[in-house]
Amino acid sequence: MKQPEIGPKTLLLLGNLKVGKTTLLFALAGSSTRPVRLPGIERELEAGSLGSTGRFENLLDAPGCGLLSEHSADANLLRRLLSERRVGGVLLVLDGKNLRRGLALCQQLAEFEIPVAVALNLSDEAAQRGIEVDAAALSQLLDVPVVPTVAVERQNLAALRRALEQARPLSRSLRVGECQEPGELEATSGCFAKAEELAARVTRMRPAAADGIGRRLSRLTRRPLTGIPIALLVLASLYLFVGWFGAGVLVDWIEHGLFEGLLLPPLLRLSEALPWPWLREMLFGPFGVISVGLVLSVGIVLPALLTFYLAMAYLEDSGYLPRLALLLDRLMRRIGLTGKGVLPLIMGFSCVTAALLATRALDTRKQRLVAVLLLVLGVPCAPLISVAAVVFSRLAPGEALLYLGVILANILVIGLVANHVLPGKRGDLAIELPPLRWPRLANLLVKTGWRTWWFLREALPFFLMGCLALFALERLGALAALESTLRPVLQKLLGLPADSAALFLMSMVRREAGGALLLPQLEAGLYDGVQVVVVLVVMTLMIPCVNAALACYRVQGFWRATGMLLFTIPWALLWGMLVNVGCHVLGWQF
Amino acid sequence: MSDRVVDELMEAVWTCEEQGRSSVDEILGATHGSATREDIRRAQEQELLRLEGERIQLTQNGREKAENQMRRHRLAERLLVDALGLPLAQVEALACTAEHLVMPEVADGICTLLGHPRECPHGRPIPPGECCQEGRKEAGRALSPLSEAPLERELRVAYLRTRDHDRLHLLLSLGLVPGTRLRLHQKHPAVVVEVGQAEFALDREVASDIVAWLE
Repeated sequence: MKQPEIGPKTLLLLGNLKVGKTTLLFALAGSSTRPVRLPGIERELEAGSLGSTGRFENLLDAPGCGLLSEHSADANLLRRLLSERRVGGVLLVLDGKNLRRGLALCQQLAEFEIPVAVALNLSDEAAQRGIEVDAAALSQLLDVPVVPTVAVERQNLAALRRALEQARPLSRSLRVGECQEPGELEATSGCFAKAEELAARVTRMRPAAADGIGRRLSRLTRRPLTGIPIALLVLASLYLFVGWFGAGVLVDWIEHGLFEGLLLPPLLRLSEALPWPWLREMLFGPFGVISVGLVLSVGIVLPALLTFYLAMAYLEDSGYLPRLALLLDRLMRRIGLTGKGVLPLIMGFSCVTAALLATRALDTRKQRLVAVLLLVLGVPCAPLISVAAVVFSRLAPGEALLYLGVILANILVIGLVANHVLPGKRGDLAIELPPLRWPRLANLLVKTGWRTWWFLREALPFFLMGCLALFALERLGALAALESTLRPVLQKLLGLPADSAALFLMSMVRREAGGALLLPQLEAGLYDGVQVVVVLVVMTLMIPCVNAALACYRVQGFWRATGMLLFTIPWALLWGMLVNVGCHVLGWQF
Repeated sequence: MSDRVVDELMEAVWTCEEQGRSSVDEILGATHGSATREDIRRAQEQELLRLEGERIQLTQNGREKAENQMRRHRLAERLLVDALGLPLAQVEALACTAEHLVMPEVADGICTLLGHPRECPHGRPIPPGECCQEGRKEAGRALSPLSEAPLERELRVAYLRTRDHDRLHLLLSLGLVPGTRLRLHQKHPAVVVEVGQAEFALDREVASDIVAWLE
């Protein structure tokens, strides 16, 4: 499908954080949503077609922001899009229950004299809290069309589409020149005071119904006494869903039931008719493109990854994650990260590459550096976690705990040292706790579907190419030569069989591919529990995938990125050796 | 002619009334010649005063205005004398300026801070405010950093005492500006405040930079 063309027929979605911009984008543009790159702008944004031939043809999603005058990369980007007229209009998304903040942003938007239409979103949540916003009165006040919507339920979208045709510049009376000067505390205060007055003019408060279950639950999740047990419960459920159901049950069905039971036997029989044995080995041998590459990626990584992405999407959409950041604040301060700094780290558990790029949004240099260090040196990404989950679901729980313990200890050590050694300021914790919401299944599926599709597009070619490369190296005898070169390191230091060199070679292509290659070996009884942990620890801590390495160069520059990436090699080997030696000294066996 | 002259006139009417005097000449005398009969006419137009022959009476509006003004003036005197230790002789001129700068809610704050004084340093009565009727006890706590403010009470941001630009901008973009009403929900492991319908989590260091009035 063709890329949406960003220009005068594009509407920019603008609003505070968590007001439902992205949900509205998906509700209006549906499956036409694509990431786009704009010339001169580093960040990828999402855009989608409105599917109409009216005044506006597509929508561009923008990062949420409190004020356009903020000193952040996101606000800079927004100011550029507006002042350079990269878009033809703005669809301002206001949260009915937090009108004051939205109207402060609205006053700043008025300065740009660009056509605007307003979606008064989350009107259901406002109503639940006894807040009634008079959309007609607000429309009169702002002098632009205002449509109340509930994006998650696709309410009133037809009316919103009609209103887009009537978009016009905001009322001149909203313009407060000084509000643009953020240096002036008084100006911003004035801006909010005016916003409060405007909001009061169009809002009526009814006595709210008693605290909903959401608000009570919200209270319980942020108090330490109840919040910590709830957090543990959430993590346990996450483990059950991903580790037991996804990596165990689902992988079993697909790998054994679908591939080994149904697809592979007829293919193998067909392959026997192939006249060239090398081709048969290339497709079905120990590094076969089909028997290993396809089975490992689609049969093993994919189902586990799917459940992980689904669980992450659920946590993101429910608004729970910032509460975790609040509860972990004390600990995070120790390792030099607070507030916003936690978010790239959480993102890293989905995709290290995306998280590395997101570190640019952090406020201080120190925070950016600490986050990049942790991401490069210790955070396993979703595909790797998925593979590890599959591997550990076939072993005793002891190994999983040992692996988890090593990964956490590594993050703590790096964070503590970096926080102590690096000069500079740590960021402040000042984040919004969005209300807890029940995520909609449709939204979760769309999000999960997209991420999985991206994984397949990015990783599948690498899996197949990796297999081909290993096959070629083996045929040429290079693999055996490499194994004998690396034997001292692998056998003496890490206590691994020499042929584990192939695993590490594969993991240089993609980390989870190397991990997945461990599975056939494990089934053949070639590795014991300690060796499995050593392999996975080294893979997790060593150089992340090619894309992540490139992202590291982009955010930290040549010298620092090279230094960090090279440092991962001895560092990973050190941890691997510690696990190997430690287990033998303590006499731990699995 | 500025409204300040009318303000002074209103004060003179109030003070004379306390002493049982109400004639035009006595009142103009009490303003030390800064107000004239023309000002009395202006105040009449604004429905603050009534002239009955040579006697001046306060209207309902005028009485409220004068009472508020006297309250602020005499509270300012008390603050300057009691809290800042200025000599009584210097206080009068300063208090005249201060009364125009003090907002009503700030007056209640000063009153609570000073423990609801009943008289000014000259021994004249200070008109009581809402805070006195409610008998607010948090005398020393009328103004406190969020990290030490009481839980689940109505607060209003008085000022941000940070010099750190990044922190200031962060607070501004969240809408935590002076004048913002908020409610404190918890202080551990981080401070949680509710502003309107939104909740924010702040670490203690940030919270201690936000100084709030107890409403």
